[in-house]
Amino acid sequence: MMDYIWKATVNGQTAELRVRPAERLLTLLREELGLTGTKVSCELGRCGACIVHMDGKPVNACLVMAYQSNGKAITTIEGLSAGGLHKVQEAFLEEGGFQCGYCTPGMIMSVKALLDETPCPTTDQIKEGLAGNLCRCTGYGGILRAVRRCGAST
Amino acid sequence: MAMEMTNAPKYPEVWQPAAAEEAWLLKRKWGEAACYVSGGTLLRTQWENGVKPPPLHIISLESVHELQGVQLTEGHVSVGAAVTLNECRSNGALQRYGGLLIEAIEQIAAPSIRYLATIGGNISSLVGDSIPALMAMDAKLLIVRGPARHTVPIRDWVQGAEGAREPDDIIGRVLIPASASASPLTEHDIHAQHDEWFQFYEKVGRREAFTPSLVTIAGVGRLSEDGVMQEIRLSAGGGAALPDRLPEAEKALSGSRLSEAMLSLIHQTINSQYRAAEDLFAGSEYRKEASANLITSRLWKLMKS
Amino acid sequence: MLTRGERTAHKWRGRPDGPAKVSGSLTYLTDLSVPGMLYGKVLRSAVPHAFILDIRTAKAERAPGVRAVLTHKDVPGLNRFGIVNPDQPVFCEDRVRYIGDAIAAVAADTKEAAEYALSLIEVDYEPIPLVDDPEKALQPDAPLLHPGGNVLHRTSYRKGDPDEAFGSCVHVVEETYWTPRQMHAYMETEGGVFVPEEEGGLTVYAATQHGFKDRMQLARILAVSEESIRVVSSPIGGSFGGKDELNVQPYGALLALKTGNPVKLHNSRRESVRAGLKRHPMKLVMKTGIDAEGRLVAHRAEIIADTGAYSTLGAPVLNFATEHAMGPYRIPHIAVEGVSVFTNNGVSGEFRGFGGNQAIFAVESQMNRLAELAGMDPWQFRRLNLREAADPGPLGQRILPTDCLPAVWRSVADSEVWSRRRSSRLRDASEPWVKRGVGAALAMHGSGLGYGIPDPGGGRLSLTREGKLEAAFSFEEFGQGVIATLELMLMERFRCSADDLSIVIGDTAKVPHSGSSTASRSTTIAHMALSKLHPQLSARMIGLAAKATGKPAPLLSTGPGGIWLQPENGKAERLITYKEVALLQEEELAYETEFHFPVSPDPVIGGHYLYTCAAVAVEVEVNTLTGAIKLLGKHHAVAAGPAVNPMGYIGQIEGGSVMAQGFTLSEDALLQDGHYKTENLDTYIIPTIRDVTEDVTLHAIEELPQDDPYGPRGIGEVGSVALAPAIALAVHDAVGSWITRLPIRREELMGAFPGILKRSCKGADDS
Repeated sequence: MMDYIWKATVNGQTAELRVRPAERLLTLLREELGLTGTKVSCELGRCGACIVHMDGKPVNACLVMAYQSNGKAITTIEGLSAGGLHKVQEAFLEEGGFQCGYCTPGMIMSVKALLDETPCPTTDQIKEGLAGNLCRCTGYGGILRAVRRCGAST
Repeated sequence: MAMEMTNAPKYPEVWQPAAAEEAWLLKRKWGEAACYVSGGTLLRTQWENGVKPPPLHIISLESVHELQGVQLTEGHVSVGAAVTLNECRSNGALQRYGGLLIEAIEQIAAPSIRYLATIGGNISSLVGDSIPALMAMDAKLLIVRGPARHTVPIRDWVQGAEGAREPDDIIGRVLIPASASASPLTEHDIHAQHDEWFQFYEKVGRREAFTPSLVTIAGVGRLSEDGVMQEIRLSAGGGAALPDRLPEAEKALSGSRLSEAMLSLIHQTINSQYRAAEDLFAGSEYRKEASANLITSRLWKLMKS
Repeated sequence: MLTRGERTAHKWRGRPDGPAKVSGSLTYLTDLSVPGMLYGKVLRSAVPHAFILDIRTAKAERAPGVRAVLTHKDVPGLNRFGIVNPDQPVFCEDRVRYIGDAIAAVAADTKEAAEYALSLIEVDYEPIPLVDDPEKALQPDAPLLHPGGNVLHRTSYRKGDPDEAFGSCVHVVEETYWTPRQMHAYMETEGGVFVPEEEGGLTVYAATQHGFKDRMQLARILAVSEESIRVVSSPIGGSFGGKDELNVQPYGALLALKTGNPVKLHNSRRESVRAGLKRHPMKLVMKTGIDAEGRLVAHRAEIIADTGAYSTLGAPVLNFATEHAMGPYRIPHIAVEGVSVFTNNGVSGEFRGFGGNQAIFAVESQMNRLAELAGMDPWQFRRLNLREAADPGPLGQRILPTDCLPAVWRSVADSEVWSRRRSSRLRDASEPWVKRGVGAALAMHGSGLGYGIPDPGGGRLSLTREGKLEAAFSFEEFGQGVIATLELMLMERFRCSADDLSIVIGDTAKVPHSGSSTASRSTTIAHMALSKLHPQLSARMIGLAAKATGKPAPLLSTGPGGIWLQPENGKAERLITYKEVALLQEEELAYETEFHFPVSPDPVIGGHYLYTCAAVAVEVEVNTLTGAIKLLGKHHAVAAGPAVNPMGYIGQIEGGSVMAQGFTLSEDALLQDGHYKTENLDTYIIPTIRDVTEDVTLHAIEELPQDDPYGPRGIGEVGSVALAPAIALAVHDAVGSWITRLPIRREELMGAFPGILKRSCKGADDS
């Protein structure tokens, strides 16, 4: 059954794998490519811990299947910091936008997607952009302050 | 969970037809063992939850030509079923004529889901939150059934009126009237606008975002200059209940003036007519009452303005 | 207010574990992969209550890729676990008591092969009638879950004669309160990797809040020495008390030793919901009476806690609830009776707040009701009845004198949020069905494990050969910021830079015993340990430096990079680096200490000695069309001594507060016939970013009494314990109804339109 060849660009590099066509992208990233920065939490798209960018748009890797991501450009949290910490990551460090850190990669990918689309988001826009990212530790206070810091510095 | 599986694991094969009829034939061939999938966001949730077993055959609709794109034709905005919710939201024609739908979309799931989920997928679940809006907008569906195409009012299709919905049907396009009744999205609230037409949409979940609906209501209508209700379409949904129009309430309102007495009557009518779902998270009494409250309060605001 | 202002600027640092967390490079224990690794899966009971007649694993053993199938027969040591009383089977032998009970475990080459093998295991069950209600479980005809019956634990506290005293009360409120089965919902589920080592040893890479305790329990199960097991238990993606008890470790350990291969387990969210711990749902019946001046006279509380199938920490939780059921008030006549009852409703256990949340919701609600009857402002009513600084503790035991209560009370009284209660709430006439209200509550919350439970603390401070000042504690980092707090404590004491430090936690091979990372105790333990160890190490290093450099010791001090000379006149200069000091000696300079967490001198079981105080005011908005509630603003006041780590302090209070918001408004792990109905985060509803308000002020009251020997207190729990009753009071202020059951049901706050319109003219004088 593993006769489907999945080919995609992951963090700028070509990746080619023999997989089941309906395998979820999350498994390909974590287990085949060893990119464990993308986290597994609810496995049904309700928490955002697995959010990556596919062709520049945020998607839940636990929902996207191999055939849906074939030929696409995938960016994971590792790709975001490849050349040094992105300003979103710096803001999270400055404002305490994380505690246990498990929701953080998905959260940061969502923030990046939000800022790409809306460089100076209002509080409502921030909340809408992050509505799909659950955090159990921070109560979202540090996260809001971190995103505002990014927006302000744009 | 895994322990419910009693056979050796089988993993879905994936088919990616380019033509709608080809997709339909594949479904005819594999029957219950196949599933149409466009974004797949709801289906993958159901497979993970154990609500439905994953199918042996996934028939992807994502590449089917006929289901792509949004076109403004004579009298209609024609939205391909494979258009993602996010694309719907940013589409100019829908912003102009499909404001109520956009309002509904903004409250569906979360941004990352909306980049994958499609309008067709939302409707084919039969309980999608876009449906009450589309019902109030008097939308129709273009259905692919083999080589044939036919349109059907969305209400008939959802409610499964005689012959309206067959298991292998593919939703091809969603047709939204581009007429005087259609309204651009300007504010998330009721207001008489655009030639006395008004519209409203309200979704109540278990929290402020990313929640299945407990109660969803929508309404589109037109008041004459002297305050008489000329046209009115009301719909309600929520939980596992199939969304529906509220014909008795519509009948009572039609041709009448809004007044406190009328609002009382409407409230009672909705409470008695609406067949609300009952589940662990809200009883049917709550749903009926909340629907009645929301609709009459919107009409009250209209009355006051 | 606690902000990033000048006062705390020097303590506002990026967390040392930050860069790895924000870049995704931190490897959590469930991210680990090792060569030759197998995948483990656990078969859990298909039914909540039954006898097991037979277990057949032959087909599973023969399935492709399967390397081991284990049942109770394969447990070499004790087939039980449980922190206090090991009564939970590793593998059930002849009986299952909840839907998450484990029956077998499989290790296979792939996850899919393991899942398939599980499906081939056959179990014959004979159902036993379900015990799904604690009060029914107490009936004489109820099936007994354990040989000792269905009662896990009882508590009883009595002072004076309440029954008689009620007779003299002018107002009495009698009410029953219900709290939900809250789930921890940590973002990282349970899991880890288990690696067999040479000569029968085992390394466990799995989250816990007490590595040494896990080691003890596993040694007991495996029938090996504790020393042969190494537990690496950090970093963790959230715990909140839910990972303190064993979960996947017995299975991973047994499978690893049986196969000789490393084995990975990682619970899916559904498995975590099914098998994992929950907060104890409680029913609290309270009767409270006051005199004509509004002073509390008598208080009676009956607590029934649903502890589920096994003990874990059910008894200490009941003790804690009992101790907090009378609130921080002066009440001459008190009777509190508690019972913790076994049922087939999952397993209830440790959860942030530890029984306090439930009791505080009930007792604070009683205060609100009494204030109303007395015609008094609810906040003034509390002030009138607050305990005094030198009063004994809630159970009559001596506690460290504390006057934190008036301070937090004052903070809320003066807060802008509380002042909104008195302002003429201009309602939006265009939406008269929206009502606003303001409420508040306060609490005194005990830290440490309580009298009667071993509560050991300790730590090690050393100068390594590489010239690092190294602190070692057995704590775990699960988000609370213990690593950052330790770094700040060390930097403050040694006046060194962060680069001079090495902090070692969460590895039983490398750290001394510090006790558990629970009960808001770690900050206090760290402070106490370093207060002892720092002067010792410092003096030694200075002594060595003085000898080596010929400079007088009194002029030397520790600083960035090494030992510095501060002459009477002249500039400070660094004389010798830490590394150079280290190399002056043959052996490593290391100091260790062991002590017990502060306890009361009075032997009152469960009683605490150190307390933190908190108060919170909240403004809510109720939409009476739908019964939905929104929080508009919060003011938190916390008195816990100095904020060692301001970023961490804010984070823990804000996070605890939102967790409490979920407890109050939306969270309940629903069981029906012993099966969980809210199996994942799509149906178990925790707050999203859109559910929270940014209008939050946090007032950290950092002053401690003059001669307080214990320094900064832990604040991991105190942000979560008082919000529920504050919201309940705010709801009453808004719509007039009293909430007695959590989570708040929308039906209770809904009105019928247009009746709502008629009531919209309710004036500000209505209470």
